Amino acid sequence: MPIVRTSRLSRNDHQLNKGVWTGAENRAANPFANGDSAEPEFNVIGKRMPLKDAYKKVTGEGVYADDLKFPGMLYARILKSTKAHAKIKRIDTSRAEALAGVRAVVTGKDAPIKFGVLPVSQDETAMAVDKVIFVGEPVAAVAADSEAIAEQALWLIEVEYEDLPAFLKPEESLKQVAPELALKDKVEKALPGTNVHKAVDQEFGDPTAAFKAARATPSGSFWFDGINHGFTEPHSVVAHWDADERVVLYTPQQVPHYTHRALAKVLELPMHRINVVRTMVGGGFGGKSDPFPHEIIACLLSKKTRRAVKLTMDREEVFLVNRGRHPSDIKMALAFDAQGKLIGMDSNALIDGGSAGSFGVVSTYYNGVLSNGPYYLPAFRYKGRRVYSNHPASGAMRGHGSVNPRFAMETLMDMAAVELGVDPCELRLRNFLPEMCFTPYHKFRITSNGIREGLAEVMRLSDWKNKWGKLPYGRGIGVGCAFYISGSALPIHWNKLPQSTVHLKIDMDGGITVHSLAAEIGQGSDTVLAQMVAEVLGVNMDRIHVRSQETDLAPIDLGSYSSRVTFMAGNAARDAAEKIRHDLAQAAAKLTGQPAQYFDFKDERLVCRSKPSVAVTFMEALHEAQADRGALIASGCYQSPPLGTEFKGSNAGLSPSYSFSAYICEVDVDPETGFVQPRHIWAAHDCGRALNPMAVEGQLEGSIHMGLGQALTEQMRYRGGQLLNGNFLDYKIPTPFETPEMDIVIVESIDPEGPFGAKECGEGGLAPIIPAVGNAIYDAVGVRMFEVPMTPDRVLRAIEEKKRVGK
Amino acid sequence: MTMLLPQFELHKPTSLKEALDLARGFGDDFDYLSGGTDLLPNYKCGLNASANVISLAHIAELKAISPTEIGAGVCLRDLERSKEVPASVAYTASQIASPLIRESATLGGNLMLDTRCHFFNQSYFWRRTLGYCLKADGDVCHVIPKIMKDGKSVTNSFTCVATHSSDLAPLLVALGASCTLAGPAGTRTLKLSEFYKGDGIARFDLQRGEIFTKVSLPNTSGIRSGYKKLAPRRSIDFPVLGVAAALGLGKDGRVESLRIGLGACETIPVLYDFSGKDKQAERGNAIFTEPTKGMPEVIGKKLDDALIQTIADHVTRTAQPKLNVPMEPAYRKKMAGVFARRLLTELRS
Ligand SMILES: Cc1cc2nc3c(=O)[nH]c(=O)nc-3n(C[C@H](O)[C@H](O)[C@H](O)COP(=O)(O)OP(=O)(O)OC[C@H]3O[C@@H](n4cnc5c(N)ncnc54)[C@H](O)[C@@H]3O)c2cc1C
Ligand code: SF4
Repeated sequence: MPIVRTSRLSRNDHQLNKGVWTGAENRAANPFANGDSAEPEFNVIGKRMPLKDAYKKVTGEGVYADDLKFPGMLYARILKSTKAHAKIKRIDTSRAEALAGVRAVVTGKDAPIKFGVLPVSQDETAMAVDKVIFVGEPVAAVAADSEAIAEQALWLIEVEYEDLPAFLKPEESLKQVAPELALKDKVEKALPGTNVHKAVDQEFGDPTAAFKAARATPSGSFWFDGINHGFTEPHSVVAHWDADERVVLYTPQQVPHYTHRALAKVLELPMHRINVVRTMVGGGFGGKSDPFPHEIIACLLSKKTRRAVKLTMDREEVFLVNRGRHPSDIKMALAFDAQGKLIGMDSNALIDGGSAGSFGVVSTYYNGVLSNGPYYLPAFRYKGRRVYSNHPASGAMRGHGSVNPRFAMETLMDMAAVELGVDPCELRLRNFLPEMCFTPYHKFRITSNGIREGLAEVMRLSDWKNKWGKLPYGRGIGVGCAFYISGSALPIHWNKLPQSTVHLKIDMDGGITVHSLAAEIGQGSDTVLAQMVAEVLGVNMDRIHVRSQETDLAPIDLGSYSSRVTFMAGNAARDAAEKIRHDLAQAAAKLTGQPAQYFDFKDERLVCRSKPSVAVTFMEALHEAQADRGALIASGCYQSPPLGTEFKGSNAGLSPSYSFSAYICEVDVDPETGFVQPRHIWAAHDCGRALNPMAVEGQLEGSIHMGLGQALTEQMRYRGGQLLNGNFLDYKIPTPFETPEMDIVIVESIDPEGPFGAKECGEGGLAPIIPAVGNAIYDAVGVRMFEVPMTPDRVLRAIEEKKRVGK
Repeated sequence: MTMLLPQFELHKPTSLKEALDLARGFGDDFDYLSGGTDLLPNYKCGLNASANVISLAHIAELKAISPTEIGAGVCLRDLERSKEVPASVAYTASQIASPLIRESATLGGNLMLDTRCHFFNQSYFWRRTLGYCLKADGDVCHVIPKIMKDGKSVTNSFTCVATHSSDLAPLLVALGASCTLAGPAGTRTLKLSEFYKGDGIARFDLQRGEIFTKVSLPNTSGIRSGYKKLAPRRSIDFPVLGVAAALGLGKDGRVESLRIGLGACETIPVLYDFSGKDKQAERGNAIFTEPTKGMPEVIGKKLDDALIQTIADHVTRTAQPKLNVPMEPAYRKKMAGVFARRLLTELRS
């Protein structure tokens, strides 16, 4: 029985996160692993603690890339394309080069080698080579003594373009086009001559029969505007091609390893001649996980000048680099039998990938296969198309590939409930996947699953039974559920290396250094690794120093995406710490004459279980273990077990474990203005075990806030190929006023494979809030929303339309 | 980061006279600066920046505040907390931008803030990509392009229709405020409603060098006033529609006076004076609304729901929001009536 506990974030309550636990009584009764009747006593696991870098961040001591300064450092600016689609006829940089203070100018010809985050989509260049395909694409770049000079020089570069028609609607990109209108040289093999990047067609079970036999077949045609991550820190890098002929790139990367690979390829250097240093990341959310043109540009400029070169973007440029959530056109239908059992799905997703492949192949799969939960789905048909267009590139963003189809599915679930006369929560309870099962065709291995407990708890807290269908016109309550991967089980670059490796080093000073390339991006990666080690070795957190920044020092880790760090790097850290623990226990045995396996590690001491009077301190054991050997060093790793099945693309969506969430949201809708104000959110998330409840709550509150932005206000608006609102005044991220009260319910299902039972909680909690809002709008005013964000004008239009056509 | 401030020289006079003298010396190449929360973001976008900036922040004469007079230099945070000014003025001030911005922002700057347009409030790169516009560096308007027929213009629009996006302006116009301007040739006072010109570029009835010194309010005792703001979010956002009203209601529930101010629809805060006394400055352009056309009779009538609806319908019918700020014009137009009705209903009770 998973443990359920709740904390409340109240807008009016300045003591945020006081931790009002309810359901704590369940804790004692929880049977933990191997039939132990009580919870094991942990040192640091499960304790509320601020993140390791929190003090540096709030005091301003944290060093971000833009804070770096080097002697003789130059400043770079990028000349961006002013055309959505055009041939480059001529570039003349001579006037820019002649400007006093300009040290180097580079263009696409300086680095024509293609790269991209996925080996199958190597379709980007550092700067445009023959043609530009979006407004904002880098065309040239200048390094100068100051930013102002660099900026001035940009506009001295003459570029002659020949306009080509632009592809701005995804349907247009499905068509056959003349070769000169092809946006990339390589497109989907099955659809040559089009601008389709990736096509996925999957059918399992017998969807045709399911839809024929169904009692209810709700369907809808959904549109989702593109959105951007909106992280706080703009892209900023410093590159230094130094006197040793090595390149050091300082960059706030979520995945330093992929940047490392891309730099090696494009700069034609062996990887060991490149050191990628991750600087403090001011938010990423998926938007800092591609290797980027600007990273390469800074290196090229440094190569030419042999000086450190800094390149910091403004907000508009960040929007144009984008990699945000795909603008998506999703047509979906579900089939239910008379008992309300989901018996089939037919989904068709057309997603606008914009100017680059990015993570898009994965996105295309995820838009379909991540509909395989949290409900049992016996018949599955999915047609996915990701197209290139003349918009800035879409990519991975928190909840990658699952968020938009989740909205569609949860809306249709709700429509089915109404049609079948079943309570929407009840309908969901009838369909949830059980614990310890496989999904029927894709063979996702579901281990722990606390979604039933989660939904039951948010129903209770929200007083769902007395509210749903019973609130006055204008107020409504809605539900949304979701699941998400806890780390992608297959690495992007196919090889035999483990997915995560962590090194530990302890020298005579007693400090424990953790080396990892898992990127601290604000989610608490460093803290969780430190917790793993502190727990295993029974020491205080302040002994642990995490060095997770340099590829020179850290073993390879695939970085911070797909919600993999706690699970994978966490397990690797635990593995490394176990090895050190073994050595320390041996040392304690030597010192005391007691068997090594009898020692418990707690409060900086190793205590003999059978004779608690016999104990050594951590430092005593350490120094004994170091005799004749020096520093203790260990390497631990994690590799997912073999998972999945055989068909093409069957590895998409595989994960060693899945998180589950169930959200309920109450809203007020103003039927005359269409404004939607969420009043209260009850959010249950099964994260396996909350290693640090404060961090889990932070992730969930953040996910909800971010999800509400997509639900209600955020949209990238274009005029032609030009982004109209590439700034934080016009791109509407919700403010604290729009943020409702939240009750966060942490469900602990204690995953058998997660470190100390933990699973992800950084991404999965975003998707359910959007349909919960949509379904609450229906409960409030009786209209279904098929366009996201659900802006006041859209809501009002739906209300008026309903009035016009009658009930 | 490119949003670098262009180079300019900053001057800090401590009296009006000193400021006016400085201005005279700079010809056309200067801007006044109060809180800077409007001017400096525009400078960062490279919008019509000047070589000289004269700060009015150190001129004590501009900072007086009383029930009938508010200095142009009063900051919005003080205005919002003031017990002396009408409650509707304090409330409206509290709806502007964000607390931090209101610490610097002033009343004068708010009433004189530059008109807004999503083809104008953009970076240099952005505007260059589009090909600039009338209001900065270009010669077309992208909102209402000049339509030519047989070599002749059929839309009378070599004028910019950028939107006046101040929250306080429609309220003060509805309250019947006047403004005082100090210039090299002395001071003059005019109705605030006449201060605004229907041209998104020229914007005001202002001589070069004139300083906006204060707003004077008529006696507002017995006048019920209020403001409703439409914006995508409840903080930080400019209004995309603002409806203000000042209502005189007799004991018998009959309307004695009614003035409605409509903000963020046009290049001016639009005044609907139902008593017909005040006229608005020349609108200059056929595409602007005529708020008085077909204006219903309300004076002396009982302000019942039906009359409120009639007034609201009139506002909706005549409101002319433009497609140059967030939220669609058709939606904002509809909301103008909804807000007018809600506001009048509130003021009545
Ligand atoms: C993020 C953001 C949000 C905002 N939201 C709102 C909003 O919701 N509602 C709203 O109304 N405004 C908003 N504003 C605009 C602005 O902050 C306010 O209007 C503010 O009151 C302007 O005052 P200021 O003193 O800062 O003006 P300044 O920037 O100093 O001046 C504005 C203009 O007026 C001129 N000027 C100023 N004082 C005088 C004077 N005494 N005599 C002659 N000319 C003068 C200046 O030359 C300049 O052209 C927002 C601004 C920002 C940056
Ligand atoms: S209304 Fe027209 S002229 Fe005025 S700023 Fe907008 S585009 Fe430019």
